[in-house]
Amino acid sequence: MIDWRDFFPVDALAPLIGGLLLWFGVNYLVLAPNVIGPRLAEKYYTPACLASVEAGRAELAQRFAAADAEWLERAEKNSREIRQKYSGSGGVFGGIIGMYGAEGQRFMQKHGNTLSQWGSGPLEQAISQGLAEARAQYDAKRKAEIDELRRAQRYSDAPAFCGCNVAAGMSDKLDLALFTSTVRLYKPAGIADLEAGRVFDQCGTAPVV
Amino acid sequence: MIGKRYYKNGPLEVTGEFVKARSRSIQLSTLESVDFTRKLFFAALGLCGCMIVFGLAFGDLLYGHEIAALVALGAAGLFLGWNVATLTIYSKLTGQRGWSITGTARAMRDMRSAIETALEDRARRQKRAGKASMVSDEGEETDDSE
Repeated sequence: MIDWRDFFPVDALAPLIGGLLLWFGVNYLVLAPNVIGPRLAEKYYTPACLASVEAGRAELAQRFAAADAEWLERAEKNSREIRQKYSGSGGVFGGIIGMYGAEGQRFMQKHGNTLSQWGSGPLEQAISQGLAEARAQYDAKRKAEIDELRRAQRYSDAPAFCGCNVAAGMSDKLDLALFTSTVRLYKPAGIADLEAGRVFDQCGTAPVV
Repeated sequence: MIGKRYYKNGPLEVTGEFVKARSRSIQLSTLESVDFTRKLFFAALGLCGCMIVFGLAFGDLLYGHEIAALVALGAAGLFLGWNVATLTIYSKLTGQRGWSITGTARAMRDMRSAIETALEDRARRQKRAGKASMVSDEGEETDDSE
């Protein structure tokens, strides 16, 4: 009769499995939570997270700055177009006066600036009023956008957010012990997510504003 | 008569009649087989082997002295495991569970050799005794026929 123990040397495997289980126990109780976990966080995951938040902040600031510049450019262009459109009225008035020959020219030399101010004063006022209103609208829209971003955030500072995110990635003690006891051969989802730079839901979004 | 002594090392002793170890003795005539294993080494392979690999694989996170300690402890454990062995004696009395003695690998190997030699001698003696009794039986039969 074939004895399965001839093919499967259980006498040798049992102590081997016992040793491996003991090794896993040491990892579960000591090495993973007290040594490797904190050091992985300190050396890799927290700096990577902080850098990612910083990059996000820089990107957002750049986007806002670009939007501001675009808005200013558009506002100046619009103001210029309005001025060009309405500055014609002062010129026509000056032209009419100028038609009265030397006397008209003398009049324009003496009172031209005053006339020009009479014409452009209300226009400039209207332009600056319009600009102020548009700016207020733009700022309100920006504020709403920032408020929306802040609402999705749970932490206002990057270290607190990164602490939460790294803790969330390493929250499963069993997974972390498997990761350390298999000397990185088995990579649990939490660790893989941290390495991929994933943000965990329980920590909200990255505090980029 | 006290049988020939084949092995003696502290409380471990093999004679022509008994195998003795610490608190237990077993009659040689009941022995069926002897098994020499390094069970502790396999346990050490699981624990200490992983220690060494761990020290090297997590070298980026461990300090130099920690790596050195892990590797040294692991190597010491493997060395210790290799030098400790278990001798299991199976007899008609112990059944399949056997009777295990744990000691240094060298002592266990020597004890196993001594048991095997004692068993061989015993078998030879029995064979000789058997032949002698056959001869005497034949002699008696001849006498009867006459």
